[in-house]
Amino acid sequence: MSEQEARELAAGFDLRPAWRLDDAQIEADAVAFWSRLNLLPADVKPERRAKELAAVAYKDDRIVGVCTAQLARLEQVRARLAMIRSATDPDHRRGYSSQALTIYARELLEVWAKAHPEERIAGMGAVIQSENLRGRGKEPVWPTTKLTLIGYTPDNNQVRVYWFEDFRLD
Amino acid sequence: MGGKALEIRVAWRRDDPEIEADAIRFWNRIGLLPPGVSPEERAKELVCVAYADGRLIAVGTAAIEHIPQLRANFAVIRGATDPDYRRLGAMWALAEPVRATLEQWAIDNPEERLAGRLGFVEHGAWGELAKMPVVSRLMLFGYTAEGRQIRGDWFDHFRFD
Repeated sequence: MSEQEARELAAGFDLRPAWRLDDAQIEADAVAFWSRLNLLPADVKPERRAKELAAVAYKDDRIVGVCTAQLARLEQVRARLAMIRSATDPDHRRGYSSQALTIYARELLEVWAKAHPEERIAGMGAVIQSENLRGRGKEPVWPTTKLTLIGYTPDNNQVRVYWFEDFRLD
Repeated sequence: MGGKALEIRVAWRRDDPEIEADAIRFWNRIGLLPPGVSPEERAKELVCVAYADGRLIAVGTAAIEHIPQLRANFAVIRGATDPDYRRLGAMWALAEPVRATLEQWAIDNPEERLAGRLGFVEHGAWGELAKMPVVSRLMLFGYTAEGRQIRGDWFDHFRFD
């Protein structure tokens, strides 16, 4: 699927930015999304995860997809990355591409990283845990999100990275 | 670049005696190979070479190895340039022909399961370019225990089983 095709799949959805906006409505809607679908681990407070929101997808005034980002150092590459997690309402997995939301979040985060050079955010990373993505794991480079396989975690999850274009290593 | 033209020749798996002899002379002249590595053996890893003034002045080689970090076979690439010709940028001139040659060979020999290129960047070897996470499609994948950058490039066609 091309990046354009991914964007077109999300045409019927309303993609909204959330990164560092402290938007109370979006955060409340995201908390409702996680609670409704029972998605978060027991030890994760939804209100805290809501502070990591990067972008969300609405359909009919309800959140059906979220992408969060946690700024953290990935020791393998000795750099600080926006480590993303994504979740999609199972009722919307066919008609909507979470890839479009990831692309949207990637663009937002890259712009923010460039505007905040003091944060030294080198790119976007992901540890692929979702069973729904296992088949796509056969492709080392995902052409839509540009996430590239660079290794595996000790428990066999793929580690993928997209490097921001303007970033320079130390 | 001094106005000198570079001639790039493909050598990968061709057993070209002239190119191999020139490469062996090059390594012996420059003294670049580590102890214990025979020029004749390294010559079998030649991918592309660059000539200037009728003389071989740069080489790109590759050894196919299984990389546990990536769970795939990669062509581990190395390059060397005659110090007297470094200003010609021969190593970068070889980068794309080396990539294209190896990628086509991987497509033509699918049983080899060659997934891409991998390189280890010695400290200082790339200068300021080492600060760019992606250079000539070679993306930073990590670091060795000694702190050398590990850079990789997956071939477009490759898929895991």
